[in-house]
Amino acid sequence: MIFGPKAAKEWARNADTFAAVYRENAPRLRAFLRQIVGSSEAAEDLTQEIFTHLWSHPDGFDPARGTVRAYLFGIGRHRAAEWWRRSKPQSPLEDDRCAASDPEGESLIADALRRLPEEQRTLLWLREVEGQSYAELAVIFDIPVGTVRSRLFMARQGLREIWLGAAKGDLHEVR
Amino acid sequence: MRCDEVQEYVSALYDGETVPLEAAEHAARCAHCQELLKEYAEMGATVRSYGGLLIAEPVPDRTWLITKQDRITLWKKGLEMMRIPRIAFACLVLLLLVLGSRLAIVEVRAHDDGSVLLLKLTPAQGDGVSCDVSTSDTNHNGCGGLAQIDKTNLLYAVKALRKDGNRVLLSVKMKVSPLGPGSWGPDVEDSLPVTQVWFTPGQSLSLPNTGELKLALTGEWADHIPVKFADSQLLDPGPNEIRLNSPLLLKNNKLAGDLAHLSADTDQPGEGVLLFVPGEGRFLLSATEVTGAVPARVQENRISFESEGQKYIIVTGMPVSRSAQIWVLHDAGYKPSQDSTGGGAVSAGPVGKLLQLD
Repeated sequence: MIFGPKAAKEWARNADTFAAVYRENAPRLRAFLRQIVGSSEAAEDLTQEIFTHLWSHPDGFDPARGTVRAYLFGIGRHRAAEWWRRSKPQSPLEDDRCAASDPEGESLIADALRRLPEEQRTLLWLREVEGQSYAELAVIFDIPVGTVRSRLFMARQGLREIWLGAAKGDLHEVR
Repeated sequence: MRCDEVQEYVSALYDGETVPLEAAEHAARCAHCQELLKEYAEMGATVRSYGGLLIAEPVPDRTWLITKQDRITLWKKGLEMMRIPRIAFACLVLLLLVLGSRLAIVEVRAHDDGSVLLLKLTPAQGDGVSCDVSTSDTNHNGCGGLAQIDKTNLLYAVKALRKDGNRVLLSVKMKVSPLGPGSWGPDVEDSLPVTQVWFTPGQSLSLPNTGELKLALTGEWADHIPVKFADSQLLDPGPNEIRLNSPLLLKNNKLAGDLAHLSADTDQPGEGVLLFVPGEGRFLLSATEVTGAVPARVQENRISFESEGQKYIIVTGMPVSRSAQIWVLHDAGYKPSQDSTGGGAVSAGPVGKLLQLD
């Protein structure tokens, strides 16, 4: 959903408009947050917190700086970082390691993703799953577009190493 | 170019990004780079497939709306049903906004060199409205509401836009209408005519769009937003008063409901306060006995009673009543209408009308 400057001011004044934004973006934001915090329950809570905050404080969104989704993912990264500082879990590998319902292939990729450093994991997720452009990623991560390219490459190489290692049965964590 | 120099561009090529011609030519004829491109594509497809599974899981509907709607419902019901003191209710709403974000009593006294402006909207006759705004914290830079003064409904919203030395640029929205049921919310606020005025603490400024009320704006600097209740800073309940503020319901010493930020208040004979907690039903609190009600013991901010063999305690944010005993009518089977938000609610008004609320 794209907003002009005027509509952006009004978007959280109208529950139906906001509900449309929520329905479109909440599942995607939650899936993204789950990649960062490693827990589906925490991701759910954070998603609700973010939308509740946005409903009461809509002024932070500036359509000139990007889409609503990019804005949400940017907030999501910060909130997830706060969550990590607050809760200090043992390791993301301890949580939601393999959803029982995941087919084997999905479990393999889920494990591989979890073994990537957080920034590489989130960068890859936003590019592959959310289709964010290099320019949008540059805004979300606050880095130059050229750095997006090199870090995406590093992330893919990291995932590839784990992926190929997993195929051989020697999963290891990338640091 | 060598393969290791081109690999970063293979990743960019996979993303559909523009790459140097030399790198593109190398990737087109290099078997290793082609293999890499294929692997990126396979990994990408698998990640997207996994992502699709997670995204397909349903999310709860409109949970972000519940708190705000509950508050609006309270405002509407409370304002429509509460007769006196309406001005106290308006101030209570302001108090709740303060309590909502600052759950601590500030011990220091206000100084005159702070960033908070303690404003007062004073009519030619009758009590005025307090409005405390921060010039440095955008989360607390405005106030607004519906105040019923004399025979008039006053809708108002004041916001501090900018501070310049000792003066402040204020956005002032005002509308006066005959006394009657009314409501307050973002839509109402947006509909009000707006003017901007420079205000210097110490001056008395006549406000536009206030008709017969002839409101004057006065104010002084302070270093914090003070915590208040009603029109004074006392927490002592008035005669006949019953009030619920951010109530917690304990059932057999276990938390059964938390209605943070919700509040209702009455000080009129024959009126009561209603508390609805999902799963526990509704509780009507009254200073006088109501058919079917049980006596409840009041200890400052606690109301203790037994109903249907269960022990209940309602803990609130401030003293409930001057009386040591009130009456509680518990309807455990009560269910709100389908258009309700599903959250808890409080309201105040004549007992008969409260029992008809759906």
